[in-house]
Amino acid sequence: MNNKLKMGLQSAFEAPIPKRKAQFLKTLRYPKISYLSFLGYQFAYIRKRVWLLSAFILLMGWTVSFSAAFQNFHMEASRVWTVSAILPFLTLLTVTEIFRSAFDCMAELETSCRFNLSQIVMARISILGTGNFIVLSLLLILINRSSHFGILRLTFYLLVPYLITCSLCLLILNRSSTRESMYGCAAAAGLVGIINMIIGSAVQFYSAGYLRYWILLSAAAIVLIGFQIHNLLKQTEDKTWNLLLTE
Amino acid sequence: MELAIDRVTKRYANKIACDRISLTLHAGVYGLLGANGAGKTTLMRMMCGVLAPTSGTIAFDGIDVNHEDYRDVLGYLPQDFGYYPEFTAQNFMLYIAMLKGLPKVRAMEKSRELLELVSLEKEAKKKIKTFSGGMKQRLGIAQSLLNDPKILILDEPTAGLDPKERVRFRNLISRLGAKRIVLLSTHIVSDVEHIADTILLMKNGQLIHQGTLEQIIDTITGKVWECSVSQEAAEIMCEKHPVINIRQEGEKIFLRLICENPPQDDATGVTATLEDLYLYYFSGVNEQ
Amino acid sequence: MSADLQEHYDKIYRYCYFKVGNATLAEDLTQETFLKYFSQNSYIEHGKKLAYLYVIARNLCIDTFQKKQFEELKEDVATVEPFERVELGIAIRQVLKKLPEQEQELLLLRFVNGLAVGEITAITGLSRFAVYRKTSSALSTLKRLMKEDDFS
Repeated sequence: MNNKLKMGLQSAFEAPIPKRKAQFLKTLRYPKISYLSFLGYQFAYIRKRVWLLSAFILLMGWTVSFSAAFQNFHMEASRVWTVSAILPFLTLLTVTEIFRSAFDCMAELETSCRFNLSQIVMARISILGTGNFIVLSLLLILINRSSHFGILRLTFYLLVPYLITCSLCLLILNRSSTRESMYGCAAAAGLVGIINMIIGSAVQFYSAGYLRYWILLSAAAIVLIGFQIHNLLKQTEDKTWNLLLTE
Repeated sequence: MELAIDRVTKRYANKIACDRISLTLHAGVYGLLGANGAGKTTLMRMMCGVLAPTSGTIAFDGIDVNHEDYRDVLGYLPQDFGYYPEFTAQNFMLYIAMLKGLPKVRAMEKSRELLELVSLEKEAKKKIKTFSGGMKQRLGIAQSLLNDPKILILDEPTAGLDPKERVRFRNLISRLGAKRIVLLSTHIVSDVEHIADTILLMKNGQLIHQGTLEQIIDTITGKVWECSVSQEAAEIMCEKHPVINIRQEGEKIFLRLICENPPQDDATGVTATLEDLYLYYFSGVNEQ
Repeated sequence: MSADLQEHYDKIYRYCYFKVGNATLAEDLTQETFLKYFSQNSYIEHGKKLAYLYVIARNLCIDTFQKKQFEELKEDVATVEPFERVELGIAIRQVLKKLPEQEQELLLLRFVNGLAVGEITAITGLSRFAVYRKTSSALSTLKRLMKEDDFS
């Protein structure tokens, strides 16, 4: 196979110049992943610690409800507050996971990508929200098995520490999403946990008479959370999110 | 291929970062030169959809900057960027590739190819926190090319690169500029001198000059002089003219300055360089 | 793959032109090939080898079967080729017509489009051995016929 022959072959097979190549290639887009795939990937990128803590909480719920050691608890409420005191930390992990982009200064780069910051944050909120919802529901079912409070009251007893921590953390992080504010959130979570333990030892708070306060607190917290999430998404849309403004 | 920036303004409570900037960019390399606080980063952020302009529009071939399709053809290297702590170089590339919508196989191909391009293929499995500033910068350049962008915006891309890396970078940019719109901002005048087809000068939020190197330097051609004078004469001259360089040489003072006419009889006219222009515009040296 | 995309477009177009003999049709088929290649869902997650592009093109050409004829050498075919090459090309073209189609295809894929033997086996369904054998047979026939026509 000499060079001359090769060139001759190339010439022999030459075709008339294609006329529509430029236009076609200009409009041809390399296929991109679907939004569903994107969600899947975001799920994979959520740190394992969140799921580990969730599993741990469920394990606690199980132990508290069914293990023999706890059958001797003379106070019904003790079972509940033992578990609900840990929930603030689930909230802490969830919320700090959502704000990862700000903590690690990836927000600017992520905003310029096809699946931008708003979509990433939305994806995280959806995935983690669903995860938390499942954990809470399962917890509810587990504890309900061994307590006489009834599902309704239990719901509020479990929800309140969770919701309050959530609204406090979101409030803090919406103001300033730096690493320092993360410590503020940790403090808030700790505080709620401690208050919960104190209340737990004063059993009258778990009596039927006080139920309406729990309901009120839940409602207030939910409203606050709704507000904060709305704010958060608005910030990512308006692109005012904690940029490293160096100029 | 046209990026149209139309009267874009960014106003903050206490200052105007960008003031009615209008530009039309086509394929080629554009160098954005300006002092700190001139508004370069603000302009670039708006071009990347990272910051919303107070007024004005930005569109690429008719696609508005806020549209997903615009981001699809965009590659951006911010002045400073972070990374998720445990990421290796490869993790980082794959993550960004995912955000840019690349399917997994393509993401792996492109990551490998680009890490090789910036000579980081050996460090692919190493954690970014072990990287030097220059390595991190090269990683940043690599990620900006993942989606084969038509618009490439690089904010101070050569910061932290050693001279050898800087030369490689310049060659890379020259090649890329052939079929893309490349906008890079820098303080390092020599980068811009060698690779930019068009130079944009920004000062106090405004575009004060736009043109090729020759056109830009033209403003001070024939006006740059060097002379050696006495102490007293030097003081007088410093008051009257913008001084580029001043040096003590024995008894006399050596001056390089800008002046319409020779400042004194034995002054030598010298060729104006971009460096001169830069200092002339940006070091407050012509505050008259 | 963007710059490569241009190159692959040319190669597939050349291939289709060889198959169907008509420029406009060849271009239509090329574009359809690319659209199909990129629209397969499995491509998105797993990627496909380049050879698959040719397989799609080949199938499309077979579906649109037309008796192939080499068009007259028009002005716009050879743009910057030196004259000797053009002359040689015309000569080879005449001779190629005498070869069986499969051998012509092999010559195109191997020496003009530069595909590897492994890729050619994926496209044509022949074994590696068959590819080597037929290609070398095609070459020697080509050389022999060229000598006969006294052109080389």
